[in-house]
Amino acid sequence: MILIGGNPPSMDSLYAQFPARSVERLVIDAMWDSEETYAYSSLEEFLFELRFRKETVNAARELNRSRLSFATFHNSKANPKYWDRTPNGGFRMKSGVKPSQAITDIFVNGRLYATECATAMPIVYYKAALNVFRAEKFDKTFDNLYLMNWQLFDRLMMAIGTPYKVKDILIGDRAYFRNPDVSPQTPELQGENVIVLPDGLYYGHGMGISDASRIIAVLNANRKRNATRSAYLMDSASRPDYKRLFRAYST
Amino acid sequence: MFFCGEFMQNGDLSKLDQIRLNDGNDKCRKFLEHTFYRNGKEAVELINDDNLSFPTFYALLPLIRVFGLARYLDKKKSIALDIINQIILPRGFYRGREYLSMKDQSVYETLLWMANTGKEEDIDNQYEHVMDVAISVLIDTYEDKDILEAVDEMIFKRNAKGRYINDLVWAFFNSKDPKTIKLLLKRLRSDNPNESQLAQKLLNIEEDIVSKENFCAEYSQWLEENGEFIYFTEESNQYASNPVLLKEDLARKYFNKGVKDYRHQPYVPLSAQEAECLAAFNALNDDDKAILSEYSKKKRDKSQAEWKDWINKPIEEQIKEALGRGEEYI
Repeated sequence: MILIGGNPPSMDSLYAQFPARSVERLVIDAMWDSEETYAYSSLEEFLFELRFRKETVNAARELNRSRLSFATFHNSKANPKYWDRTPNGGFRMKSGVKPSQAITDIFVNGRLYATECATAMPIVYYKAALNVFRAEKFDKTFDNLYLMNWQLFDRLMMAIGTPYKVKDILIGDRAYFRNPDVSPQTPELQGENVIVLPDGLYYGHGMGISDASRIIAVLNANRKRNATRSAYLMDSASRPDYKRLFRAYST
Repeated sequence: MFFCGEFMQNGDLSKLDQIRLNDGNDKCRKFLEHTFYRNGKEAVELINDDNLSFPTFYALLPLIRVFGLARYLDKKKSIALDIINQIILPRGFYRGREYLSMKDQSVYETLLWMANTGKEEDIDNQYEHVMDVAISVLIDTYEDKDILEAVDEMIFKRNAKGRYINDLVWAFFNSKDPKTIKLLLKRLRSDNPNESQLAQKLLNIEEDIVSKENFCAEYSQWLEENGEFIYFTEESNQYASNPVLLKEDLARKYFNKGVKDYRHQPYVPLSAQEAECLAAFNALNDDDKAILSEYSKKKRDKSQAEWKDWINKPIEEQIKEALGRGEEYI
């Protein structure tokens, strides 16, 4: 259920704001039907989260079209105009560069970049933040970008690196397909990080946009000899700390 | 088992290793090149020297390819070349034997040579990638536990240089061997803050440690006393920023049905009564499960007969007793 300021919202007025089948409507329905209580201090806070989730979906679709390549950390690459590749395969934003331009460049010049599935997740969330905050505010709020799975994150985005068991995996969440019997030759396929999209689809970097069965089939095809365990979608998710982001957005 | 460092000490270094270690990769390549133009057979003999280390072999790969020497390599180096190609070539481009997918003594010996003579070097990103996969296959396919000390060294050395460690860490814990924990506890006690911080992170210890000695003693005791209920979670940095390394199987602890192999094997009830009991146990919240399983273990350690009486009571009574008399045991 949804509580705003301690009370259930008027669903009619919420529905009226969004078209049927929109990301916002799908998220509202999932929250409303849930056993979980989704509590917000204000309507603005709730609408902020809905917008952020919608922009997360948009950013995932954009990244899928960007020609960003898949590579392990050993072989990662980034456009040196905006990023320094660190010795561990991460990308640190160059000094003097605008964060909004550095993030946008990944989507515009994707062919100059290569990384694996975990680092693609913060790229999606930063782009969602850019779409919500707009460039000027984004540049002030996220002024020291470092992209390397969940490491050395700024505090506002740190939560996407800490998955926990959830009752609902919602659109815009980061979910994880685990491959417990992965081949020792392909540690990068020990699992697949994905952004949850509408209609039972997921975006995973390297896999593209597909349904769960295809992701599981690809992971299963990369298991060790005599494997007995199938890949599966974990019942956990991580999501940005929307309340914290909303405070940063509102100040 | 020989290490490159040991070769250096006992003077068994190959000619090419001596040149590379003293004068660098370029000089070593030049030397092989000159030798090849003068006498191809001698060049092959230099490469096939039993004492040649893997890093030197790796550094010479461009020449081996250009001069078409692959077909003259001895078995170990020929397998090593195929293993490297299998790892570094894009999917679908490798057409040779899939040595990494099989279990074979010659492959095992080659991987050991690569790991033992190559562990101290970090020539380039691709070299590290090759080493990571070689280590991973040694640990997983060949269940080699002797390599763990070397992997521990590699992880901490690479981390000190800010280099990539996640795949090595994953392979290390994939051994599901408590030796990994003991090695990390040793690192945790280190005076080097970088070492102790990484050990703390890998052990997923979030609290501030007041006394490292006390902490490690308590951790080791917990490991010792609960070994048959502890398992490696298989979480990694690909999944979470602070992956949980170990968990206790509370159901097994509650039923006193431990298995000491550190892999998660959910308990399968042996009777209808146990199934009922397990369902009731699983319905409890995490705190109650922890209290009940700990109480069960302590009670059993004290008296097997009393424990049998207790475990056969309804679960509500078990909890009541555990909460009421818990301090006596917990």
